[in-house]
Amino acid sequence: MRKNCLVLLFALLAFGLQAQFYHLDYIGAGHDYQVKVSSSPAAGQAAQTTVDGFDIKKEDQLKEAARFLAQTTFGADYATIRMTAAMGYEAWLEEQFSLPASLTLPELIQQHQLYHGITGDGEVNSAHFKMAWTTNVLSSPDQLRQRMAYALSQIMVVNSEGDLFTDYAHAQGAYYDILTQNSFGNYQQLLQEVTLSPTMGLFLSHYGNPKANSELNIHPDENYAREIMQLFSIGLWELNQNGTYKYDTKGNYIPTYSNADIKEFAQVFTGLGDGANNDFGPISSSENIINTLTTPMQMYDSQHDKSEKYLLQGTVLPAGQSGMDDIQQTIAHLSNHPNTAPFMARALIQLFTTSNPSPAYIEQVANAFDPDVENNFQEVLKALFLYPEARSCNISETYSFGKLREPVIRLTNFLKAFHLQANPADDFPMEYYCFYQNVSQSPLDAPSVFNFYRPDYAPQGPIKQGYRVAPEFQIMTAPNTVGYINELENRVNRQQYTQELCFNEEVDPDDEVEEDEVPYEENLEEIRNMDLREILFLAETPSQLINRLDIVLANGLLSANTKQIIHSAIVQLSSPMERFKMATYLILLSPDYIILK
Amino acid sequence: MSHSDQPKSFNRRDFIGTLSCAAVGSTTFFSTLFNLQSLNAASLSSPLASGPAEDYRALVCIMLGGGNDSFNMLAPIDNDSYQHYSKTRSNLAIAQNSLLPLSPKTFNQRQLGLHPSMPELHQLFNEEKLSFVCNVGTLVQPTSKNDYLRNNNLPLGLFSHADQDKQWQTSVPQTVSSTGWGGRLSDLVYEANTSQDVSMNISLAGKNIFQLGNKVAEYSILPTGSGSVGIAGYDGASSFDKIRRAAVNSLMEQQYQDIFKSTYADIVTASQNTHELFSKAIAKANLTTTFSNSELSQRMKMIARTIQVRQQLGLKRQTFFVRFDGWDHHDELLNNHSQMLGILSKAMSEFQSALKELNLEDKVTTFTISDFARTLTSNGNGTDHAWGGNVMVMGKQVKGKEVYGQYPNLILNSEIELGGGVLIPKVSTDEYFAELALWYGVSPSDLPLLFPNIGNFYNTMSGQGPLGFMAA
Repeated sequence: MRKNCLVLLFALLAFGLQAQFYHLDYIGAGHDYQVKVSSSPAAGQAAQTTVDGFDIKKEDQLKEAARFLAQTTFGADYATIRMTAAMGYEAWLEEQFSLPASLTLPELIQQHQLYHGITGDGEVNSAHFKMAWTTNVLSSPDQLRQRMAYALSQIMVVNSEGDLFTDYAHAQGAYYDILTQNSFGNYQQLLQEVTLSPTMGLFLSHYGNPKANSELNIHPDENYAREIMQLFSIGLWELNQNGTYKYDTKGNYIPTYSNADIKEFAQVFTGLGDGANNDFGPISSSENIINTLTTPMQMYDSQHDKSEKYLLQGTVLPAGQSGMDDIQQTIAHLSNHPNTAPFMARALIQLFTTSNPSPAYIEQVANAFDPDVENNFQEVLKALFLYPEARSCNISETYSFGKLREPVIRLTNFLKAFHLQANPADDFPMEYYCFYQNVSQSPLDAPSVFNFYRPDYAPQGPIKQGYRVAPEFQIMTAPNTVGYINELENRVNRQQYTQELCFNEEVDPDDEVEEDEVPYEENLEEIRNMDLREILFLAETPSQLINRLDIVLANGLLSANTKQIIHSAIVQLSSPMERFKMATYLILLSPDYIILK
Repeated sequence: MSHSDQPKSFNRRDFIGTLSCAAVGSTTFFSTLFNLQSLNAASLSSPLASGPAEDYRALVCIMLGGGNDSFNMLAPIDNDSYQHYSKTRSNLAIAQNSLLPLSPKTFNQRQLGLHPSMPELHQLFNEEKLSFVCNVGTLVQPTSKNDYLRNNNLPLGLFSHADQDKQWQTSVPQTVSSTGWGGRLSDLVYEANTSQDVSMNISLAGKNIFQLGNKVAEYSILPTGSGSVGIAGYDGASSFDKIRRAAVNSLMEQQYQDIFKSTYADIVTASQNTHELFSKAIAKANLTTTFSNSELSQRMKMIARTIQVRQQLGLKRQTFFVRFDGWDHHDELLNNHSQMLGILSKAMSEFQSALKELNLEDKVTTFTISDFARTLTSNGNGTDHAWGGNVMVMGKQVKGKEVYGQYPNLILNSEIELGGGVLIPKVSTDEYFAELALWYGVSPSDLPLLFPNIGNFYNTMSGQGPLGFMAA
């Protein structure tokens, strides 16, 4: 299995990817060559800096902007941080809302064509999806949209398992694009498209799901009926608008649905099948399968259960409706259920800003939620990022605000911090493959529909004792925690992968190496392809280096003690490059960075 | 992150570990947990030897994540029962003549057969190293159809993966428990281990609630390499490495007010410290039993290797947790289920062979759990979430070649059938696990600490195990 992956990935290495980095010019994308910076550093006076006419008065503003960008993007370089500080957050958000979506499927197909043209091998597998995804989140200007799509991919989860998805990653690309295209749209449309996605249909088995056949004791598949409620919309327990639980008269939580309700909803999701061919299902690997996997499922009314369906809170779907009417009305029903707003508000807040939002914060975001209003997610995101709890640097000092940064986003933070200019062609696939392996996280690759971590997870110790949750800690096992640190070693210091560091396999010196077997070793080009001229100049003065890295890597969150520890280390080194590597490594593993306050 | 060659402070746990047996026995805490004989035996053990006197016990929990369709794993084979089975299961019934017939030592209501893809476990059954327990599930109290309809003290979130997966690990189905029964078990016994440096709870499946107690948590390892992972370059001799090591230590040893930061720093420190000990120990493992290449087999192999070096790790009581996910067969049940049962059968039997090589077959007991069984009726080509299901226990101290509990009649509309072929369990997870806990050394009077509902099913003072599948 692993060997096969290796062969494929090695093959990929040879062809390279024509990922176009920084192909669009726009303000805030990391371009600063149009930007005039002037300063008048008079003694005893704060430096007055202008960027295209905007004032940037204080370093604090840069830090605040860096923190804002840590919440809203996959990472930002110094120029982007400055620009954002100058623009202001609302203007930045509005600009993001106006940018066109960078999609994954076209990127994936482009990469596959390069590859396919050389080998004649038709397989487009999940490695291609990850390459396309990584290219987009590193290079595309629509950063907020990409972050939102990534957040949604952790709520409405599909993964890459199963032969079909392994061999035809178009399914993943098409699904991810639904999320991307609806990231600034509305919830109801999103849920509708997710429901009709063949990728979701195959993952949660409502693709080719026939109506009941009582003679054969065949009942409708209940999988999607359950998870659309439990995970994608209303959750298990009735909620107040501020996300707190409702209680019954005995003081118990109130379930949102029963198993009998599941059976009713299961009838709704019958009759969906192949949208590209006239074929209800089950799916077969045909010539046309790529169209099947990238076209919304269609309704086969003869396979749809036409009986009356009792939904929640007294809603009834009349008998004899068309299947698509049943589905649309059910999606509207769930979208407008009183739980959906607080459920989605909490989920999004946890994925963007803090694991333990206050009820007032949840309520604010839930109030902005309006499932069938055009572009409503824009209002939701504004409420989420502009809420005082998210913006205030005072509240960020409080006990429980903040979250553990996801491993995947730590990687992109690093890669985006220093103008990664290069075509990442040479080593792209394997580099990220190993990273994802070592941290147990990669896009669309959660082990199940329950994502990488559960929203209520709390690690043993003070977090649990304090009745707080910290979902991302669920993947912080010893191997993953150290695996991430070793990824820093690979990328920052060694700039090389070895068998040991990629696969945790020691190379036994006594092993006979077969003739055609090349010991695994891979050069990492990232550092060499970053624009480090400015940072290396700063590195001649250790404190300047640390202050700059504090902003671009740690969003101004390093404590004085942490800076002092790093300072003590780098003053012992003389080469600016070594200082840079040491400081970067230490910051990126430091608790002050790992926890985004 | 002290180096292991640095002098260690002498703490209470070290102290207990080096005490004489008499002194240990004099503490009331221990006397409630173990019989003195077993602790006496403990002191006789010598490194790497596993003679009959060695006091060692391990429980290995295999979680079949997603809900194993266990009424196709273990199916009726006599004509009457098969007819009911076949009618109910419709297009998902396994052919009668392909099931591997089981001839238990004690006849259990109906004749049963094992899924044809599990010949290795069929063999172990015949060698009396494997038994089945039927229709086990999460229960707060014995539950009738009427109780179900009246919503009377039912488990929370029945039929939901997230809830049932957890409740099989916590055995406290009426609430969201913050600890698992393996963790609570470890809280009771961990001080019997000579060393606490490497957790007695080893996970090949990352964080899990089963092994989470109030004092003991899991240590996660990988099936590859040395199992544990250490910080690369941490032991490096270059001046760069030395500077870096000092800085990493300072960063992690700082006092953090923020509970997220302190939790993270503690994880880094513990991961590195534990790795240094674990990797040193595992290097001594020299198991020769061959394992398949499946991920599950490779994980079971790492468990066997870890067990082999138990004495280097200073452990007399261990638990292991491994997941084998993908049993949520709403679709394509017949093929996929068959393939996965085959992988499971091979991995379990290879593991048992490794224990034989280590001469530990009577000291390690392996058991399976799963979210739930699946609806007996078909949804076309798969099945949905149900409740009670069948499980397996393996080991030489298992009273093997038996079927425990009552294998139900698989008709619809029976008094335990709730529609669609969902069956009310007749054996609670409490009874199933209490039997294992008693074998592990927990005293009957301590069972309620592990299983708060046990009194609803079993008189802990009865003098015999709740199900009787473990040798006393």
